[in-house]
Amino acid sequence: MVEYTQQLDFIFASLSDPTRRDILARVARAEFSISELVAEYDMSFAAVAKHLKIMEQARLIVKRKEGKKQMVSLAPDALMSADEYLEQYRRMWQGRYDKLDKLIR
Amino acid sequence: MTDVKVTKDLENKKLIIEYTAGGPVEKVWRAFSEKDMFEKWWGPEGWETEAKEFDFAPGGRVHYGMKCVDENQGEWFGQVSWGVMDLQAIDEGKSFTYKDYFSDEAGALKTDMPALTVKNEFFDEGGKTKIVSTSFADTPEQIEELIKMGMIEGFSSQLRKLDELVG
Repeated sequence: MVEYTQQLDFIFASLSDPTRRDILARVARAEFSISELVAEYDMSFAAVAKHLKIMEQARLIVKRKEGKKQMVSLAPDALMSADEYLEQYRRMWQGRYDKLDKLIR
Repeated sequence: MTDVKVTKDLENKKLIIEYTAGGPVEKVWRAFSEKDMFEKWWGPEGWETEAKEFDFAPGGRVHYGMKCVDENQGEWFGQVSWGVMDLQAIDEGKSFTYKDYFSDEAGALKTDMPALTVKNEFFDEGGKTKIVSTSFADTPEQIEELIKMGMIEGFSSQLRKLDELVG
């Protein structure tokens, strides 16, 4: 439980910053290298790396090495569990198909 | 309106989406195969679709953009997500198969994201139509990836909830 609340503290602290929320929104859709992320912001490499470190500590993102590049992506269970993702995905299709349904009646 | 059912079959690397629409197969088929109809429903809730290219024929392609027009979707508002369907086989009124890609506005395919083969099948159920959409992946991870990409709606609302908590 202690570990759990500490984890939540990390997540909240991490998401309290607009740059980090923006980074999260980006890596949620695709994998980015750190240099690609640096190019998106008016910030030094070190500043972006620091943001990423905080996000990594909150287990919101994961990094992996690809040759000389460090790639950043959303952690598989960041914010939501696998089941919640699936439900979200289901709801997206529900929204689409309900529109289709109205159209074909 | 019925509930959409999503089944994750990681062992066989398949994702199956099922829905029963309250109209005849012929009309449902048109909703997929005709540009005007397709544009009216393809985008998720709060997203508008416009097809730049619409050649619904074997070997043809559909290139479309989905724009978020719902201010309540936070970071997504105003963003456009581009995609391409490369149509492979079409069995008129019964099924069609396509390769599903993310792309850019010019139609260039994004090859760093998983491209899956999707088969859509249509079954008559006494005037209603059962739509079975199966995505075939190369690895189980691609299925998880696909689901993650589908969180368009949920993600920003999730962040907003956290925002409120953080104050």
